Amino acid sequence: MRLTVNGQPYDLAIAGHESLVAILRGRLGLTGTKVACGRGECGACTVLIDGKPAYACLTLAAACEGAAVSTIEGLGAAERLHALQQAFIAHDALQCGFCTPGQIMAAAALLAQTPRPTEAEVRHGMSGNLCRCGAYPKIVRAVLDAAQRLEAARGA
Amino acid sequence: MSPFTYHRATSTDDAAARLAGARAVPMGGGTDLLVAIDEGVVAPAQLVDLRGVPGADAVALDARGALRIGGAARVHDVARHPAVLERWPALAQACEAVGSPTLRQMGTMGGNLCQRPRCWYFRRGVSCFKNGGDECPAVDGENQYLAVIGGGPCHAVHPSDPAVALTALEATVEITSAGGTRTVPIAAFFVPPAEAPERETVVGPGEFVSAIGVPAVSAGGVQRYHKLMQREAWDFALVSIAAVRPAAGGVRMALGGVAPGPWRVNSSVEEDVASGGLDDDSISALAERALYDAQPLSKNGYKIEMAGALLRQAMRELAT
Ligand SMILES: Cc1cc2nc3c(=O)[nH]c(=O)nc-3n(C[C@@H](O)[C@@H](O)[C@H](O)COP(=O)(O)OP(=O)(O)OC[C@H]3O[C@@H](n4cnc5c(N)ncnc54)[C@H](O)[C@@H]3O)c2cc1C
Ligand code: FES
Ligand code: FES
Repeated sequence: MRLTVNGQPYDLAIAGHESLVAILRGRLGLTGTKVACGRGECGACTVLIDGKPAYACLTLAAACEGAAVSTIEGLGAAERLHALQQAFIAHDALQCGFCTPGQIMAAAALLAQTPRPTEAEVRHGMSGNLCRCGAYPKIVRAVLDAAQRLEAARGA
Repeated sequence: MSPFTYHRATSTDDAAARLAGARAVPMGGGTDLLVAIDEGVVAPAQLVDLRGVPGADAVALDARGALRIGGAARVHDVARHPAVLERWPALAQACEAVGSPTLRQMGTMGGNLCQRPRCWYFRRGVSCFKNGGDECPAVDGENQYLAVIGGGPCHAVHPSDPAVALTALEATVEITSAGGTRTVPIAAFFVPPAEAPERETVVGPGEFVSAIGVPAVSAGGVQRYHKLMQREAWDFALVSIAAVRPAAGGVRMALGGVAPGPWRVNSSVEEDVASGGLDDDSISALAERALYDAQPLSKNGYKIEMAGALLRQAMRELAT
């Protein structure tokens, strides 16, 4: 089957029971997407499928045929970081960084739907991503800042 | 995860034909099913993905103002649908209370109604009524999250938030198989454990939920869904309540988290709430009457107090 990740098509033989996160990490070498719980309870594996957030640990790779999968690797490049990545660095919105790719993908989904969120909307919208290090206050600030950066970039 | 094959159904007929096969089970978002497979609670040979069936994810109003929710409609899309927010806010609020934003984008309404209970004995493979055993280990064990009313021999509670709102809204569930389609009122959709402890709903092998119907309501009135959790988000209900008072009259209330399925409050209590003129004393008395049959297990008596508090709050809100 054909799996499209970050705009790049891959032709792969995939068994029905293989999860998207296993394929991303194990077969495509895209290890930016993390796995912690493997059961929809932490958000570390959050990716976008056709622009909507999904836990890649609870997504069958076979179900993604024909869909556009986006991972943290596709969001920005090392030389040209996405506004969310810049804001997470600027606000020091992480400690160990394990939850960060999932946090950023969830934030990308939130800002696509709600470009100018209130703080309460950020808290609600990010409530499916746990941070074991407890960086929550800085994550909220980074997402609000990224929204402003994106708005400024759109205006420019 | 034990191996299985995957098929994306292309039509309702295709889904029904595939589900007639041995050990074939329906899949929506997979948010409960894939975990249950991982836990060994179910061992399907084939998953039939219902999300690709044309129209199965639709949320639409019919000419008479009733709501039709496709079995594969996403929980998020119901929560944010303008007509649902306006006419059936209790349902919108219950859908918005499900899990996390990502789970709501992934999860379907059919999967939500058919998700398996979260009782940890069942989920961890301890012998119990749900997996063919002949006792409930929770009775003398860790039963703090289980039922206080209507339970026995199995005491697990159904985890769905939307089901509680759909019960108060007197929804119907459309069930399809290769043999055709039948429609059951939601009150008859959940099976009491005394009848069949191994399953929770009337959906049998080869069948799937193809749609949910919600009767039209007049504009105005009061509708509420409240959910008490151990933390503020991303958790199952300890106790929840859906309360509805249409402008045209009548009161309907249902509790979640207290019984094996959504627990519709006794009609005589609902009638007394509807007749109005309540004060603090009569509200307390009515809440007590609604929970008259409640009997806690060793560690879940707090749920009766929570249910009482939610009932009193809902009665006050319906009165204003
Ligand atoms: C961490 C976590 C927290 C959660 N919190 C909540 C919560 O607070 N409230 C809540 O209500 N739920 C909660 N859930 C449950 C969540 O799985 C459901 O809300 C979701 O809607 C299930 O839908 P699905 O499409 O993913 O179901 P699936 O996982 O695809 O299916 C669930 C079950 O239903 C069957 N099924 C699927 N579709 C159909 C159909 N159309 N007809 C018949 N059978 C079908 C499957 O075979 C399976 O047995 C939570 C789940 C997780 C993992
Ligand atoms: S690894 Fe997927 S939600 Fe935790
Ligand atoms: S930064 Fe360590 S888990 Fe979030």
